[in-house]
Amino acid sequence: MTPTILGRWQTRILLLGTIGIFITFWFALILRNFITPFALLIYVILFGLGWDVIYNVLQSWRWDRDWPPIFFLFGAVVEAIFLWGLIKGIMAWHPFGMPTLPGVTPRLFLVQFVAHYSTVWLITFIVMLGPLKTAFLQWRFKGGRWLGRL
Amino acid sequence: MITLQATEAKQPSNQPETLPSLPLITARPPSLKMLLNQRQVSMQALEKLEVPVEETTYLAIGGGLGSFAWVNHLVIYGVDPAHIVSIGFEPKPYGRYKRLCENSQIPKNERLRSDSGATPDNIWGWPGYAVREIWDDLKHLKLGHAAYICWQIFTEPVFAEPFTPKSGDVYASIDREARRIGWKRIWRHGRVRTIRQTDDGRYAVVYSQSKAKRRAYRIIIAPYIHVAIGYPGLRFLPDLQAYREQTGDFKQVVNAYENHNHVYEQLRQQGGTVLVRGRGIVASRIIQRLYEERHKNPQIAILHLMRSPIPEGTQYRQATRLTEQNLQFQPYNFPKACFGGDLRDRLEKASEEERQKLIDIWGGTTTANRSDWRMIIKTGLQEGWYQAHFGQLERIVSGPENKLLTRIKGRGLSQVETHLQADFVIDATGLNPELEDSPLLKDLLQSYGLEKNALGRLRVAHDFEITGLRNQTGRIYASGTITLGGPFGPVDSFVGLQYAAQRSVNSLARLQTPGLRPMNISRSVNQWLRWVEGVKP
Repeated sequence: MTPTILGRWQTRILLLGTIGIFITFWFALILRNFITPFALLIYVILFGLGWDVIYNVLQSWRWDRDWPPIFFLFGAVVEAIFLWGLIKGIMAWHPFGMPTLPGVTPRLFLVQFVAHYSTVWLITFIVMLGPLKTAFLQWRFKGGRWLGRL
Repeated sequence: MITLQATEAKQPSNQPETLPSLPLITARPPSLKMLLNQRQVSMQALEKLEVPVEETTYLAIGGGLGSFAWVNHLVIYGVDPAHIVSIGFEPKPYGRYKRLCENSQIPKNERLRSDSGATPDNIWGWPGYAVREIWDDLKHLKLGHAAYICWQIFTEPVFAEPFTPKSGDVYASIDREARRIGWKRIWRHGRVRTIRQTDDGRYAVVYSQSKAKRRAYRIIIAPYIHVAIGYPGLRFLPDLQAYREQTGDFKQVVNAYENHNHVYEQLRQQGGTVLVRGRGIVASRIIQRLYEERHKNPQIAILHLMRSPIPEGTQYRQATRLTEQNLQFQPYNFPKACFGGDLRDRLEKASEEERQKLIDIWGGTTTANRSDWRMIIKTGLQEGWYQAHFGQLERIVSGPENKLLTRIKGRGLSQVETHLQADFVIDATGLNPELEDSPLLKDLLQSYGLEKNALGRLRVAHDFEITGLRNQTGRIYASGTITLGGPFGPVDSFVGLQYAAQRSVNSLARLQTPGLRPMNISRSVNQWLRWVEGVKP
């Protein structure tokens, strides 16, 4: 699949809104905190919509206008560093009087964040590379869009 | 048997229109020929002919990979295979494709220029050939190779050369799918001669079956037809044609898509110089084969003739195509986004004139960026057995000692004329198809006044319908190279054939044609699981 901007947004929302919620539920059970893991998931979706715009611009510089799988990994690492940096930055400087990023507990450990983030990313990434095509026959031709018809 | 007068008497006053010229077919008996002089034929008249007439619901004309993709979609979408007929020359859907590959030096163990997910045997494109090869490697404990393919598909084309499947693996997978959908009972041998609209909103398709000095004609009636006849014919360049006509020599000057193994056999024994024309993927493969022959006989030299030097790669907006040694590189015949990204959207929305320009930019003549091919050219330049020349080949004549003398006119300001001497000329500039090379298409163009697109191919709608042939509820769709210049760029590829098939079958499903139901998520997953199990759809 060679993503378009709408395809990136739709695929991100679909995968994180289904598989992402499912995995996050189990993390919430383990952590005994039903707010922070879901807040993190929402931030990944929301900030991701912006990141997707940047990826799409970068993609237009490539002759094939493709986005190799390893670029998805690079993107995931950058997004994770950004989100963790934001959480820690707010906790350190309290901008607008915010004690922490809304919904995220100050007692969140890096290991918890990495475990949750990487599990969600890895499973949704694997589903995107293959199984998703079996459910949405036209997805690969529509640049990752699953809504609307071809 | 009835006469033309009788047929006309039974038609409404405004039908049929008599055609200005006779169709090109020479069908027998004469009553059939006369009947087919009309744009629209009456079912009553057809039934009274001596020619056997049968009916089906879905008819695929061509019997090759394009037909296979369409039939595969139909069956998976729910059509009973008993209601589908495919007419073609070769029982295997890849028969002609395989022959062209083998002639252009891609035997079973060589890899095609095709994405892992371009799977003619699987309409979902997953699992691709890479995953299947990894699985096979793991079963045979080839862990290193399995790891390498994983790395390839994860990082291609940035940190690794793109994975491409072995042609033999593709053929074997199509055989499996053909067995699964019952292709053997769907396919029948025949050459389609002509198509005529019938007065009940269907089409009468006349086809011939040759048997030992006897040609039998048959008619099949269908409301939904798909035309995928591949390249209408092998068309040779004028200079090559002129040389053949003048000398009667078909051995020294050959097209890369013809069987030309005698060239390599002679070179192996006697050595010699080969002039290779073209800078596409076929030229690369031919040069590779000549390089391999050099290991057996180092007295082989290559003169590589290209029309003009390429100082820099083609540009599209801010992107530039990679270029080296006057060759332009891209993994497939079109940029990857043409198969399903924003370039596909862009082409579909473009006007016909824009499409022509975009296809020229994105398509063009390119080859794959393979390290072994680049190494061959570099080595050849260093060792002096490879030379690049530029210009237009104007003339080939026989010279002394059975040599070929070629005259090449320079391009650009200098216009310097070059004379090159070679033992063989291999033309790898492509197949150069014209619609009129196919008697069937020529007849359709003349009889129904079909319009061509800006690239001179069949004008089709976004769903690949030939709208000029619409007959009440009857529909005719097309796919493959005959539709180049339309809404999709890489029509002449595995993915292109599947894309066209899916678009047309989706349209038919919306029309609620017999047996077809739109593909929803649960049916799609269910059908995919059936594919995995290898059971009938």
